[in-house]
Amino acid sequence: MQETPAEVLTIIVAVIFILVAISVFLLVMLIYFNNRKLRSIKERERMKAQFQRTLLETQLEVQEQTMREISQEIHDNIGQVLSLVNLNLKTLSTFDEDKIHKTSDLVHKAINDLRNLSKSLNPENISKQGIIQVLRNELDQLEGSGKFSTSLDVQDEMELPAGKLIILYRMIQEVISNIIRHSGASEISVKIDRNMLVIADNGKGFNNGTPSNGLGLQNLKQRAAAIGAELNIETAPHKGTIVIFNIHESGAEIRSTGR
Amino acid sequence: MNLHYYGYFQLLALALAAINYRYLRLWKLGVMLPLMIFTCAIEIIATNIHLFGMTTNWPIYNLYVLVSPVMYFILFWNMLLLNKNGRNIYLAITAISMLFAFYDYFFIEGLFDSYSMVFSMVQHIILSFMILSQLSMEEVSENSILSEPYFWIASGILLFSVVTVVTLGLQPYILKKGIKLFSQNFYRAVMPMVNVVLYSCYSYAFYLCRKHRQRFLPS
Repeated sequence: MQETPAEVLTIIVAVIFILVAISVFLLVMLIYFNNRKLRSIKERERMKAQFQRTLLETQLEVQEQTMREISQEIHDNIGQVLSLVNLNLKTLSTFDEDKIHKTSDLVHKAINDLRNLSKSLNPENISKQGIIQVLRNELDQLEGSGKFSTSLDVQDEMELPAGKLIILYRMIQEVISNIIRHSGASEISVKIDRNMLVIADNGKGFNNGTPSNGLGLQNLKQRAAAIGAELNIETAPHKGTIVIFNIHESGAEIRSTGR
Repeated sequence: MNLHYYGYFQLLALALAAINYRYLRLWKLGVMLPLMIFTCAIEIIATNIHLFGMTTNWPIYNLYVLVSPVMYFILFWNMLLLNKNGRNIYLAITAISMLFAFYDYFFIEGLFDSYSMVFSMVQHIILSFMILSQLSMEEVSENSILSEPYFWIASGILLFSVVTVVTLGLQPYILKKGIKLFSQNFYRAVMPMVNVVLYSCYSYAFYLCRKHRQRFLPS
């Protein structure tokens, strides 16, 4: 049977239409499966991040518990023993009074140092006194060493939940400890302005891209992320260092206290 | 000088390829610029043969059939992630298809090398599928497949080739039967539409090359 041109045209158009429809269907399926794969990758990433955050929080919790126990031990045991030694020294009747006074002073200093250490290790103390006060004490101690000139400028106090506050304080301690050990700085300034905390020094700075700095910074950044904060470091060799903690609004409640 | 309506889409794709050439190279799509220049030149000459003292545009399209497959093979070569064996097979098929195109031109058809074109389009369909499956299996991509320039290029080529295979494959029969669509030659009625699809896909792919440049450039 001979087909008419109209019939042939219909068949050709139908064939083309079917082939195009199959191609489009395959493309749509490809897009669909790709989107599904993308969603599952994102979900996997989210779960991974969540797991890392939980792991970090657990680590920090264990660390805080250990510090709490050390603090308690210093306060209840070693501190008491030293106080007793000091008392005995004062009531001791001997001929070398000058030596006894010097020894008593040394023991007194040791008691004070231990008390401060105990306070700084104790998480309850940090929550009770507030970050400003414990920071002020920390900086006063540094100032008292005669090696550093320090300043604390509080514009707007930040209020964080106790758990986050302790993590932030530990990070500040780590930054200050790094300044003392590595920077060779003579000035340390801390500024708190709303949800931003800035620690600056006039030390020798460092090359931010150096891999040896990577792990410590990575660790700090991870801990910052755990409390909803962002850590930025501005530094260059011989230019000092500025460490900036930006706490996101969701992570901190801001209370304006004036100057 | 005249230009068919799909010619404007070709010129748009050419303009975008030229503007984004730097980014096209980052995506290993640099060959698209010479391909677009060649395509537009062929189309302009073929549409205005009287200006070039020619009576028929078949030789011009035959030139396109002989030269463009080389560019397309470079394009697919760059887009496909082939292992050593795959590369060898690819090169062998390319050589065979080029030999066939020349043999077809000089010894079989000559007037218009539809066999070569159909053969080339079948290869394009297979290669487009390979690229699309490669994209679907990629684990590293964090973006939707719709933001991949390779997806749009492969999709455009796939749709174009599917229609072209049928249309060109049946061309002798269509001519013999005098089949017309919208009162004109079936080929002339259908091909402009798929050309619009193809060059629109290219244009969007070139735009995406620029948009997603951050994948390769620091700023």
